Parts: sequence; structure tokens; C-alpha cells
Amino acid sequence: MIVDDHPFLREGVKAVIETQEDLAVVAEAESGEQALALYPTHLPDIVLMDLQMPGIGGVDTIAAMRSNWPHARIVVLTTYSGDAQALRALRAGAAGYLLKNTLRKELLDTIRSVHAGGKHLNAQVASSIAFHVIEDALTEREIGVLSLAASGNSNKQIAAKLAVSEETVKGHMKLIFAKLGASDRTHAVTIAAKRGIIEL
Amino acid sequence: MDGRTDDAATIGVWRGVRIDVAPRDAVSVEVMVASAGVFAHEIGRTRPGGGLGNLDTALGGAITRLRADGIFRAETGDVLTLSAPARPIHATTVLAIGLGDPAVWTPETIRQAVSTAARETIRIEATSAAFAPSLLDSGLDPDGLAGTPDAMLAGLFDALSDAPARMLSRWVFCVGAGRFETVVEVFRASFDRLAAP
Repeated sequence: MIVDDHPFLREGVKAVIETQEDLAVVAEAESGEQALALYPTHLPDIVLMDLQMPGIGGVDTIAAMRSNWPHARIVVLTTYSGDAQALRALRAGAAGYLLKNTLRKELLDTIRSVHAGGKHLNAQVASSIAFHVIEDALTEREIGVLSLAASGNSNKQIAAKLAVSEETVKGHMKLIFAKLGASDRTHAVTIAAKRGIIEL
Repeated sequence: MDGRTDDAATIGVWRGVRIDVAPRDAVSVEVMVASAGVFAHEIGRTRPGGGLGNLDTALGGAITRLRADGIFRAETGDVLTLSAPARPIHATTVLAIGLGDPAVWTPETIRQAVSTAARETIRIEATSAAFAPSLLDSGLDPDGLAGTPDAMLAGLFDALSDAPARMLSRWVFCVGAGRFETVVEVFRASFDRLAAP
């Protein structure tokens, strides 16, 4: 089953898969909600899952799918190489993580490896996950503050939305800069988006 | 990437696959698929040493990080494929093969691990591959490793018997550089014994 909100992407992946005698696409979904509805009907051996989709999004879909069907084998196929995004997907239960610029053969190898029970990651994504572990992870609150900053909110506006003082927000921002190695809020937003910590 | 390195010693050819032993590790061996055994934890150390330590370092600590996070538990039979690794790793694909708890290790464990690595190599149609057992790198006692060459060869033969390798032409067992000539002779004796009809 292919889960992606872009029909061209689904068509491209389907065309690659259907060149193989031992593989077939049994269902397509354009959202996480649709994927969860279709899964029990088709019980696919492998789910290829995008992360950035309207609605509940890829990571939550993976978590829900694995919760309902623990044997579901899910391979993330995404444009996002960020370590935080990848780690969330793997912790949610994804067995593979590939980038959309992956070569055709690697995609097919991954499908077969994961079907056989293995896990498959792009090595650079895996290294990125390991590299950032030495840093302090942002707390949920800090991620919330930074997401609001990324949406253009001032410290005062963030404080009002979170029902805290402006000084508290400034304190969060200071810690966020230190943890991300950022020089200012724009830099912090850029780093966090690139690593998949926040979504823009 | 034919799996033949200048310092490799050929111990035999079985079912069309040339089998070498080389004083290399999964980083430096020049093959398409480099595989390494990984225990669920090390004995008497906090991270693997030797060749497995080199591999983990070359991957930015990915193997030990993913293991610590439970994403790759390294239980017996677990397979983690890392595709398109950067230099200094020569291979285009790295396979980490779970060896389970080192406290209950037996030669049968390594037989199954080599078999698993070979089956995966055959599945992805690689032409050359290597396996580094990483037993000493994980803190196992060198005096307790009798029977390892027999077990590794038997594991390779298991896989080649079950799934003929249409593409695979080279298999390299990575070993330590110490007493290399002696190790090669042990592998040759094992090969002669196991490959005999």
C-alpha cells in the first residue's frame, strides 16, 4: 500500500513496484485517515508511508497502524532527512526510512528486506540520528514555543497563547538557542525545521 | 569491488563463490555488502572495540545509538541494513546482524548470523560481500571461540545451498591481523573438511 498525498508520487512508486513479478500495489491512500481505513481490508505486507500529509500526518498514522495491527511493516518514504523526524517515525514503529530520491533498486531491496523482517535505513539518516544524540533534546514545551515563533509570533504573543509570562518565553528561547547552537530565532527555526523538530 | 583485496587469502571456491579470508574490517574491505555481527551489548566495555568499533565510528555511532534506542535490538536474527554509507566505508551497503546475548554465545549463533547475512546478500543480488564476526570486538574471551571458522563456513554453505547465488562471486571473512597466516590455515582446514563431498 502506498500512502502519499501526491498522486504523481504514488503513480511513480507504483510504476516501479509493478515492474517486479513478486510485488503488487494492493491499495493507495492520500491521507493517514484513509490509510487506516483501507489497511484492514487489504492487510498489505508493506506500507510505504509519506510523513508530510494533511490530516493526522505520517508519524501519528504509523503509531495508530502499529497499535491496531502490531505486525504492520511500514517503510517511510519522505523528502525529509532530519534526524528528529526520522527518530519519531522509527520510535512509532517504522521498519524502514528512505528518502524520495532513493534509487529504484534500493526501494525494491528495502521492501523485500523489511518484508523478511529486517530494518532498513539510509546510512546518512542513521548517522544524523546518532550525531545529534549528544545534544540535549528540546522539551515538548520548547518545541511548542519554537513552533509558535516559526509562525511569526512575538515573545509577547507566544506568552499570551501559552498563558505564561513573557520572561518565561524568553527563558525558553534562550535554552532553545543553546540546545540548537542557534544565534537567533530565525536561525533556530531554520535548524529545527531542517532537522524535522518542527514543521513549517 | 570484487571482494579480492591484495592481502586476502583464498581458501576455496564453493558453488561458484570464491571464499577469501582477509585481515580487514567492515570499513576497509572492498565489497558491495559489508556485514558485521553485533551483540545486544558488550562484555566488559561500554562500546565495541576493534573493527566493529571502527564501523560504528564511521557511521557516526549509528549502530550503538539505534541499539540503545531499541530500534535495532541486535537479538539473534535481527538485521539492520544501512544503505549508501559515506566514506571511509567502501561498501555500498552495511548489514548489522544481531548476535543476541554474548553470555549465551555458541558457534551456532555465528553460523546463523553468517547464513542470515549471506541470504540477505543474495536477495539484493550483490556480487561481493564480507562478514566480520566482531566476537573479540565485543569482549568475548579468545580462548572460548573454538569452532568459529567451521561455524562461519557452515553458515555460508547453508545459505548457498538453499538459495543459489546467481550474482554473488566473492565472499570475504574479515579477521584480525594478528596470527593471520595461522587463521588462514584453520579456515583452509575447515573448508577442506566441510566442502568435501
